[in-house]
Amino acid sequence: MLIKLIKLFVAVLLCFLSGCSSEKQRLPIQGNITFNGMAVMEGSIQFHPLVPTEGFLEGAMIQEGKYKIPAQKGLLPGKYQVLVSAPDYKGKKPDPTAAPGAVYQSKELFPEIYNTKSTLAVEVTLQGPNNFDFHLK
Amino acid sequence: MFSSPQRSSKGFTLIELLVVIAIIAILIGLLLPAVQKVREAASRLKCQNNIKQLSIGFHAYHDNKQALPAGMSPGTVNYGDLYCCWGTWQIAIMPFIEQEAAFKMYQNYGGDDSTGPRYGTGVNVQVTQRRFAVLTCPTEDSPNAPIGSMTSHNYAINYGNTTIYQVPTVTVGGVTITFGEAPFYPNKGSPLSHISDGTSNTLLIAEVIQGQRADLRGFGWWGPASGVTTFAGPNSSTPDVPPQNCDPAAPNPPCTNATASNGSNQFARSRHSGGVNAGMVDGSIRFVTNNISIATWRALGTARGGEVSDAY
Repeated sequence: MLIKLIKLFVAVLLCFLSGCSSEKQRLPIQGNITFNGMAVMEGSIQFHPLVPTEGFLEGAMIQEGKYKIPAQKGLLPGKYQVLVSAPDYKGKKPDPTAAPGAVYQSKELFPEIYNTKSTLAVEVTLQGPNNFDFHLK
Repeated sequence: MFSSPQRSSKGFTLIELLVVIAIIAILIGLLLPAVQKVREAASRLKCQNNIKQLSIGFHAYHDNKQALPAGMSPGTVNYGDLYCCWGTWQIAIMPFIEQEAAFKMYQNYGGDDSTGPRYGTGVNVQVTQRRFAVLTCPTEDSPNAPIGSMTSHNYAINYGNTTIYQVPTVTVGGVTITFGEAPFYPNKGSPLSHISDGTSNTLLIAEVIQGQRADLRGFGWWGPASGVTTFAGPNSSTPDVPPQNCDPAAPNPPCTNATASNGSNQFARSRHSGGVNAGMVDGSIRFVTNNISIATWRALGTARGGEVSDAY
């Protein structure tokens, strides 16, 4: 009886603390990305919700083969189409302190099946762990 | 024995003093966060007021010219730097936000030529090196000057829902995002009658964070930094896509250089907690939270998307 009461007390207290919020829970996403067996050093990843009316577009920079979206900016459970993109500088990395000028647009490093015609799809689930590794070729 | 009550009535003991100080310290401790919150609220309000001033400026411009100003430059010819350099909306709006003197000083606005001065040459730097209070949000920690002492600011106009240069569609496998027109285009502005989604359902201005060091985000004198799109939501973890000078080191927001499949983009961001301030075309100001669904946010970005507007 007493234990039951304590449980109820805790539940009600938690409810109060969370403001009885109906806010949807965002989930953290992370993983590794390789291209032809090598870690991708620079680039970006985007998760596009298949049902955009209920989702967010979130993404991350790829740094040293890894990407990470923290829970605070995470995704809702559901299906996502994934875009992976990285600039192909062809050995000439642009100067990051250049004067603003002609609009550069690098070639895309990855084949289009990983971006514009993406075949990469994931399903984010409430129970997780939502670690998605991509080994691109 | 007799002296003890007398002594206590004359002064305070050290213990009493310490207790009083401790109590005051606790009270101040309780009060400070509240003061901090009020300060934050005040700067958010100031930030919204700037958007209101700019909105009024845009409406005055529209009354005068029957259309909104060009976003980047009213150019027609691509000189390699697409519409980049003869004065963005930040110049066009000057006479309508009581900066007539700055506008008169600026030479060759809308020049559309390969010889006349641009935003970074000649007398024009006297305007572009100035920091305008109405273009600066007080929550910006460190106002930046990325190049040649020319200033970055905190407001950007709406270029729609795809990319800064308004590609007709962005496709990612089974997901297609179709450009639904915008109040501003790089080389022209819409008349209000063009905005068939309704002026209260279409975004006019949103906040951006100034990039630090040589990062050009917020550098609104320059075309690609003059606007935002609603492709990604407010304060999204999706990296911005500047055409050059991406510097993602803290405190800058994430970014990646543009590629053929991830075109130039800048997204609405702020240092306020939980969302960004945004102005609609009708002149109303909203605080849009980070939890707005991407479909609703993109619908706000389009001028002629024909979406059913959601509450947000």
